[in-house]
Amino acid sequence: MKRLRIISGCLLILLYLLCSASVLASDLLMVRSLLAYPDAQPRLEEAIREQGYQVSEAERVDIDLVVSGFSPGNYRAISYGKPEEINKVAEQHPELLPFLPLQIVLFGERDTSLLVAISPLYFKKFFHDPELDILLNRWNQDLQTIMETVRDAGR
Amino acid sequence: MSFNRYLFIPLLAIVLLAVVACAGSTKKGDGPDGERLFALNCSACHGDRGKGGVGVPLALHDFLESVDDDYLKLTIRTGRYGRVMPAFWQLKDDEIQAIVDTIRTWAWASKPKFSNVPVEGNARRGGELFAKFCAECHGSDGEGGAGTGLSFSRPRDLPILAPALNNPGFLAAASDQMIKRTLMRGRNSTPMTSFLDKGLTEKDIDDLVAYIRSYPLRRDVEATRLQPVSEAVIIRESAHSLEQTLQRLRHAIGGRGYSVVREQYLEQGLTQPDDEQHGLRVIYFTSLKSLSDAMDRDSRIGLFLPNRITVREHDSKIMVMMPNPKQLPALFNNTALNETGERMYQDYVAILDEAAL
Repeated sequence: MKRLRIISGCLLILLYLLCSASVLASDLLMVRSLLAYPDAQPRLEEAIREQGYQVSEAERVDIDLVVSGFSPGNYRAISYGKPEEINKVAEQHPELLPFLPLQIVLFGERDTSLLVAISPLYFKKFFHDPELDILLNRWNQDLQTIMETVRDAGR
Repeated sequence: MSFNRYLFIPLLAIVLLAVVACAGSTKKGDGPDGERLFALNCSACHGDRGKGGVGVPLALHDFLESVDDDYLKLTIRTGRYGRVMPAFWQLKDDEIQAIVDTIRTWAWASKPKFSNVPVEGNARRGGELFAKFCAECHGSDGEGGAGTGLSFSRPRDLPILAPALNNPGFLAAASDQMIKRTLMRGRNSTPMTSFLDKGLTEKDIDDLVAYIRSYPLRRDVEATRLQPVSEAVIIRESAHSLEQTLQRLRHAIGGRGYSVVREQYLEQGLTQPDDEQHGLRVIYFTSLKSLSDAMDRDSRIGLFLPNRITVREHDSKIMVMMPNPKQLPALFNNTALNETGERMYQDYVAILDEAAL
């Protein structure tokens, strides 16, 4: 009886974890590039432009990061977008504006680099609009291409 | 009857889930490319070829010799709830197996297979032993060391830190026999030493296993639950003009101990200055203390920093908006951000309310 309770408990935990929609790996896109940080940033900006976007900012957010084990200067938030798309979103879904321009965080880890971005598909759960879905799908596809380009550039 | 009562519903649900998960995964051919799948899904945290990084190193002989394939597969499938390692529910079974097979090629090790026979022991006595021998590293309630799997910003000079034994993901993945084996033999190259060498008996170790296995039955998961949010942004409509709203925002930001980093048009840098919409503004602000605290807990939070307020003027209506920081823990699968997200939310709401109302 005790064994059955334990096994049943484990199965329910497993079921709970499988059903937990808040821990989906796909909400975030993360890749590691074998490019060192100084090489990864220009390659990332180039990859963004290759997909037809403008880079608007490469912001340092690493002040005091040294306390976290990073070297200062190895952290950037790269903002990018297309003005016509921002205009369209501003008209139709202004609530999405706080997440624009789109952003990729890049930080160095030893002699490699990590890229992290929110998957545009993440926003589908908040904005139920088939027309917006088309845009989010394309953003996601472009973002994947950008990140894979930087990842593969180091191989 | 007892079997039916305890097992039928969870087993049925899992079978149904497995059927759904496997639907459409019947692709024939050479099989999934484990190396490529690892690079796509795992290497960002676990490093190239499992050498470690943000996540624990996997290409270690002693690690691979002490865990079986079931543990690795279930760990990938269920993740570690609230401890950064996400659940890769979208991967197919053969893809997960391919990843596991690939990991096993990176370090020579025999491939263990543990039985699912539960270890019988005295959980109460095990708790006493745990407090004496384990709590220093694994936490008083098995919550694990602060670092691996908890913070994305752990010091890089530590190759591995004590895992959370009370995590539902760990408990689902680890069999009693696997836990017992680790306690009996320890793991080389880590602080985890053999408990037999520490003078404990096999009976003591069985009691410890029983104690660890008791976690799901008594743990208060509500305290560390990842709360999903229903709104991605916090929005207020301002009762003031655009310039008045901006001025009031600056004042409110300063009043909460933050400093304005810069103000700009939303499209700045994306288009020619003459083409920028003057009704779309962004105020960036920060405080060194909150920035340091947030980045120390999870470096990915840079996606939300510096803090930003978007202001939109449209048809004489002024909207002020911010990303809802309450979504941080669930988005990053990191309960270490619960407090940070809540504090940021309180500050954001106070700033927006003061400026807009």
